[in-house]
Amino acid sequence: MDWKNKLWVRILAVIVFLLMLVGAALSAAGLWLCVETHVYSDGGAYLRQEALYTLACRMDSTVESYYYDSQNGFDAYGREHWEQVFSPENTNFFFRLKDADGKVVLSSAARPSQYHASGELDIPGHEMKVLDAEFSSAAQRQVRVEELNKSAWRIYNVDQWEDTDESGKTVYHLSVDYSDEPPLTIERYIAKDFTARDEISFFMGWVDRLIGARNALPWLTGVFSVLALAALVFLLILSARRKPGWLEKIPLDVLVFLYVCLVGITFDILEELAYGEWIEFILIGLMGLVWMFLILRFVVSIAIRARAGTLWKNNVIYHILKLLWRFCKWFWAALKDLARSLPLFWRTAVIWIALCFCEFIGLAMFGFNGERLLFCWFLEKLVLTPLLFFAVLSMQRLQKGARRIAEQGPGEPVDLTHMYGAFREHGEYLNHISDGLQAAVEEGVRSERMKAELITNVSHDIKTPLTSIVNYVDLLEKEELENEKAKSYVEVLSRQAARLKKLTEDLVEASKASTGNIAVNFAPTDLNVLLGQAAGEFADRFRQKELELVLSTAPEQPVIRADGQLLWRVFSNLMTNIVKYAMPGTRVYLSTAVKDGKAAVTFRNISAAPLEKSGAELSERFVRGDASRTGGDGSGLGLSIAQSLTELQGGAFRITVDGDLFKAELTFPTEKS
Amino acid sequence: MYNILVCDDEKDIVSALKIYLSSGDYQVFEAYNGREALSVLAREDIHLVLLDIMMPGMDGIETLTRLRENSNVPVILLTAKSEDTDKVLGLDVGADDYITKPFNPVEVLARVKSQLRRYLQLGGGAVQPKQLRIGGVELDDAAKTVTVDGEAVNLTPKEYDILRLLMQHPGQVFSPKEIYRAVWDELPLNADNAIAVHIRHIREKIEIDPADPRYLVVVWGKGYKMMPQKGD
Repeated sequence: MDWKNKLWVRILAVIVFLLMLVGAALSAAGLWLCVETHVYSDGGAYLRQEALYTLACRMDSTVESYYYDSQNGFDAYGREHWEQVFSPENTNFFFRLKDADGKVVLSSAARPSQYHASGELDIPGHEMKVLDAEFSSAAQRQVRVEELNKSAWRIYNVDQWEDTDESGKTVYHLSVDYSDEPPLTIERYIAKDFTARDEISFFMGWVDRLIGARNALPWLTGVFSVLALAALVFLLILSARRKPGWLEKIPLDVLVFLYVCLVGITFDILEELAYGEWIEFILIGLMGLVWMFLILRFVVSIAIRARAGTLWKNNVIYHILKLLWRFCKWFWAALKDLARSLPLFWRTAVIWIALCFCEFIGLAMFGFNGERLLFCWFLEKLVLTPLLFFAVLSMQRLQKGARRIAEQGPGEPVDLTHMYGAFREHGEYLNHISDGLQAAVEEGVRSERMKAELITNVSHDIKTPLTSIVNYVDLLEKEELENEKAKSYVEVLSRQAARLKKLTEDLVEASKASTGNIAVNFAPTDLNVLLGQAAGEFADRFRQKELELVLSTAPEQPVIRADGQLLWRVFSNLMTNIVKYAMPGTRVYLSTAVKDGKAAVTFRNISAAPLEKSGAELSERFVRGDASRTGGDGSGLGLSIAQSLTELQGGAFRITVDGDLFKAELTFPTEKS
Repeated sequence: MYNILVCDDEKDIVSALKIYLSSGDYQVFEAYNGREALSVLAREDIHLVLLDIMMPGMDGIETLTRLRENSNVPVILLTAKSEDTDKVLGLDVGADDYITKPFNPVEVLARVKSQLRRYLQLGGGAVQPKQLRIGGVELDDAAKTVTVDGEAVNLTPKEYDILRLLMQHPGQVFSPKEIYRAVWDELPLNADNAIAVHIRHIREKIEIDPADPRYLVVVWGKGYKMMPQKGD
């Protein structure tokens, strides 16, 4: 919605909000005033009375000035001026000033027939505001006395000057000069029908309006408040759509502190103002306006923070608490670690002593009312403590034995001397477990050794006669055989002997690889280099089969942790397969790649014969891609050996067949440099 | 006419070897265990020993240790064990070469010939300043020729440069990139494959069994090196 972002919409919303706020404030103030002055119970009589009295009292200072002038022979303003001021045309106020004897000293020119009498009210005495100064004790006392005596109006003059004493300190002098005249009494009257348009009639008009509107005030307050709130919510919604700005970067508690400082400064300024000058009223108004915006901005900032979820997080206090929490957690973990690293004996000792201490304190505080109880407690501990420590020591020995079995395997049995009951039973079970484990381990070692020996022996025992067969077939081939049939038989013998040789070698290697009976010398190995070396070794054989080699190596060095010799056997088996089974005239793709901390080598070629087996089946033992193919010197073990050797070095071996595309992929975790 | 002692507990293998070696103009002495082999050695003037490792009684390793106490005759181990550890052990004890069973007669003859030539004809020959020698491989940088056990080998200029680099630093592994930089004198551009092909060709020319090299060894995943030989 486009209009929501327009500037004038926002300004309008702010103005409406401010107006509604002022309305709500005014009506709430009126409501408060009405409730305070019991308007709802007496129909406004008391409020009117109070208002009239206050308005009448406000004229006292004018009467005072009139009285001074009359005492001094009207040399300041003149009698006509005062009569004009207090004429019924200009004011609704009338007065009579009486002395102690009840004689009228001064009064308004006329008195209306109908008036509100304010009664025999005393004119309150002056409140003296004295600067922070040094007074002689007598003067101070006199001022105090005068201040307390507020019931009567006394005329006095205050004179004040400053001076410097011998020590260079500024001293303030104050002299109060009292007139001997007795106190005067003022009688105030206000015309009932407000013949003149003055301050009194103006204010009383507003008072009457307020009383008249007393029933509407609660509604007005409510409506204004709701409207102000609605405007505020609208503003907040508009503003909260904003992204957090520089103000939201300031931690909230720092911002609150800044605002509190600003409030302090504002009050300081307000105190400095003398009130009365127009310019100061404007200043106060401006400050109010500024504050309005400041508060509004603060609320908006809160809304933005709440929306961004940083209301609580972006606080200095939050960070401090978080740090404190972390420290507490760390401390707790360290404490736990310490407790755990402490041997069982000492742990128990600490807890036991602490428990005894607590019990003792508890006894001393609550039940320590007899030596017999203390004696019993002491006796109990005397019996329990050795028992407990005996149990703990037994437990610790059992634990030590169990840990030795768990960490180092079975060995010498757990020592069961001086162990009784359940502990002894437990220890015997432990020793049973240890014995069983010992037997199993020995059995495992023996079977492993037998397996290794079997492989070596079979290998040797087969190879020795095979050597003779190969050699004598070779010799036979060199003999001059006249019989053509015999020649072809020898040729079959030669071929099958070679195949048997290859099969034996592969079989031994396959069994070694799958049982892990091969020493793996791990070293950093560069797959790019290895693939290049392998490709070079096979280059001539590839050319003979008219296979085009496409080599692509990863730009980053794919260095893995592997045994180069074993890995070469894997590569060699895969490339031999390719030479054997790839369709002549096709391309063979060899590539390395590094991705997500893993290095991969991929061999891809097009099979000459259709592949009838899945990738997983192909890497099983004695399985060949083409069932029909029985000739050649393949043992069907090449891929199985490659897979075993790859897995032995911590790699993954995967073969996928997609139509005629044969793909072998090796993945290894890359070496961390 | 050289005297060769063949020692194996399998009689058929001994006689087969005898047939092969006799055709190569060698006098063959037979032994069927370590003890017999040592007594023949004490009696006759033997120039080379073919020794089986797995024998009842005194095995090949023990026989070799005893033999080495007073003789430096070349010994080629015959072994059914193809594990690297056995080869290393045999070479450490004092064997000059090894052949794994089941062996190829041609390979046996070649290795016998190579060891004899080194032992009887080349041993102790003064090395010229511009000559490099590792085992039976000799490189004459003045004449730009390479011989293996005295027989001339035809290398292309690049193959010659690579071999010279490796022979100048026996035992040091050179990565394909380092070889490329040193021989081609320029920055390598994915040259792994090219170097590997050259190395393969050199091996085919100087090794008896290129698949199981004794001189130019591949360090898989790292590079290539010339293996320092006994007596260098």
